[in-house]
Amino acid sequence: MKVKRKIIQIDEEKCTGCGQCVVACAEGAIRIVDGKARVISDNLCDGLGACIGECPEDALHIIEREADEFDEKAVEKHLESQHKPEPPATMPCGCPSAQIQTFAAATPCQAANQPTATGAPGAALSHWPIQIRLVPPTAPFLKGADLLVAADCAPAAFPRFHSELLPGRAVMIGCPKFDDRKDYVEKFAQVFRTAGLKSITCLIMEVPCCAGLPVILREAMQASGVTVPMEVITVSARGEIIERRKY
Amino acid sequence: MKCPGQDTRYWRGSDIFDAKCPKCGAAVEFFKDDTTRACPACGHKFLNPGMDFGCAAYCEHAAQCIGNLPPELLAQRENLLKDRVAVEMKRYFRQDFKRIGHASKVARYAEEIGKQEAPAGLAVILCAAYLHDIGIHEAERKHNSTAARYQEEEGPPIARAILEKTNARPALIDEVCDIIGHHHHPREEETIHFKVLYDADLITNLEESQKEKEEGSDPERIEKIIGKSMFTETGRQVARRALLKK
Repeated sequence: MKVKRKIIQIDEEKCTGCGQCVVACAEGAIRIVDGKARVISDNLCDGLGACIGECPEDALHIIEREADEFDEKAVEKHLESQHKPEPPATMPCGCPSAQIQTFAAATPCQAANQPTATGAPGAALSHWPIQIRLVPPTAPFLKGADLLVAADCAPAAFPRFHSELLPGRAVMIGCPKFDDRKDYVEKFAQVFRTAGLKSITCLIMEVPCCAGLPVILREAMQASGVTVPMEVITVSARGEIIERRKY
Repeated sequence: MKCPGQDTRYWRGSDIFDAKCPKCGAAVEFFKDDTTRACPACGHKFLNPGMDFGCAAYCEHAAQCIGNLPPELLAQRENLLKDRVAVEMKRYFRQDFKRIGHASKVARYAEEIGKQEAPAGLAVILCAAYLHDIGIHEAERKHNSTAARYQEEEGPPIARAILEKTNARPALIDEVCDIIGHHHHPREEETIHFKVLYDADLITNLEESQKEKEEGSDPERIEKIIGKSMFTETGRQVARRALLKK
């Protein structure tokens, strides 16, 4: 049944296919097709425009036109088809993030055998996965760990990430701008309850979208009732440490 | 920290442009974040023609950012408020698409009825429409019931928090919260804003129960409800069109 109602219109000229609107749409109504964002079907779009604020190109607008009524049942079906239940083991493609791996620390022999003059230390990452959404709160590498929580962009900006911050720490990375902050708060609250962390180091950039990360961690401490000593390190886009603050 | 939209590091060439002076036609250079400029040729001060305050619809710093605007643009802000409230409502309900769909349908009918009955009150009417059932999750959580009385009790504080976040006028917040607090229980004397929302909610509820039953419920019963329970003439017209296909 068609009704005249508000619905999103995407200007293909302006759209660069960056996909920020895709993340913003809770209904999963937008998909990138041939490098352009498209509304998959009218009945998945509620026309309220939660996606508009995320578009850097001003390509999204609400218009009024004849369209199918928003259909919450179709949305639920659509989302279900998007989120297949996770298979117990690895996927056929062998996605490494579906398997927890801990890279054993070097034997004392290997550790002693490191060249000293090269100045280029090896990789310091001790486990996998590292995305906040993928790390289970019960992961063995979190037990009693010193945890490093880094905003997605920060490791790319901070040159001494592997040499100074990663050694001896478990790491979780994520982006408070693109992911759901409530999910993050819940995840960290579970981690704080189960893992018995020794400390948290939070690495963020100077940009405003990063500022949410320490706030999320503090909210998770409140929610879990567990307080862990935390240091927040802020890095500039040029890779310098601007501020270190202990909580 | 600067708003990225105003931070020139993120600008492109097209963010600085020439506009024609409406008085003398001379070219006047505008930066995209200039609200007004004076024409160097004739001194006429005019608004930036490319200024779009769409960002004010979702940015919490909009007040600091566009606080010193000419009044015609401040009026536009009230108009943007409903869009922000719609998005906040959606964020609050998260994955509860049934409630999101219901609220947007009520808002659609409320806008249609409100345009005829109380065009000046559209901001109040639409904020109330988007937020009228906002207390339903709390009612389920605390009282294990979606009964109207619990919704009306739990809704206003949540609505108030959302509206305060959007920097709405205190008078508007009070009125919207009052409407939400008794939206199923009309008083003896009701404001036109309440009546518009009540009618829109009633049409939506009847329409939803029609859909549930598939075969379309009894037209005589619906006509009776329209005649007896609705407040506004426009509401009745919209209801007959939507429910009885007249």
